[in-house]
Amino acid sequence: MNTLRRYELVLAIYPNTSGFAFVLFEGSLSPVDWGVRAVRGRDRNDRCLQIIASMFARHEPDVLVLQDTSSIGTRRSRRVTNLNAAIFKLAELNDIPVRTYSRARVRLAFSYLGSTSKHAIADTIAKHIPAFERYVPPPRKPWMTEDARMGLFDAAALVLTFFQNMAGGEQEAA
Amino acid sequence: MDKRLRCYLRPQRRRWGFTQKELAFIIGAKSRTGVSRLEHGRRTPSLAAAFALHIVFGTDATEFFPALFAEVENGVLARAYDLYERLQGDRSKATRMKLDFLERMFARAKRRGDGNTSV
Repeated sequence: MNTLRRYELVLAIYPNTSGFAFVLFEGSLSPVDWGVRAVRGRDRNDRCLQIIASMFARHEPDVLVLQDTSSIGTRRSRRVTNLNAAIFKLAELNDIPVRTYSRARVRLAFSYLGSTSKHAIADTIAKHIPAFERYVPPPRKPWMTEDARMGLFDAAALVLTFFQNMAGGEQEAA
Repeated sequence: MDKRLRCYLRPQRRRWGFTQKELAFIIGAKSRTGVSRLEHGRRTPSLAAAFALHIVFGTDATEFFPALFAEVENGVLARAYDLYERLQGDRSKATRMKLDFLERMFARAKRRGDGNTSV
């Protein structure tokens, strides 16, 4: 009989200055949902958490992948660090295992590219996942702020790092 | 084909950059709300909509709506087993033919199920 089997549904959330970006993958090259949510205002962390809680309820992911913003991980702003920690707690409340990877770990995963700039990683992801091709922002000049769409690739890079680690036999939860 | 989501219309639509409104127009739906309901599994697709989506994306309805397919298949197989049991004991030629056919149908369903085992 044809039944719905459990398949690794991996959600990555990447908070940034304007809100957060997310990607939901079913398998390493099959994105099923993605987006950039802009949340503005004073209590934006709370509102981000509300949106993320509804995403957990809707998609029921098997794993959540976040950036490691702990003291040994990647240094981010205090608000983003707090939001990341709150997302971690929310996932635990929902019994969703969480993996975290630092920026250095993600770069290591893409080290075969030679250049591990954010744009090079985004280009590579877009080449492998055609659905993301149209989201690759133009290369950023030093005087430009980062394009919000780049968050999508940061989140996708986290998922791909997760899958690479799983293929390498990662066992422990972060 | 291992599937977790109930419906794969949304990823396919977004993969090619179509809005719900545009897709609704192509498949002949009244409004984008209909597409939204299909995407979120709040509406069962009509046969015409399933054909239209197959024409647009070249993907079978079973791929788009795996949960619905599984639901229909489970119901059909349960009723077919029931009929299979009821036909047992009847030795007529017509019944033997039906039983053979049902056994082939069960075998096909089993092969589909076996194809779903890898994760």
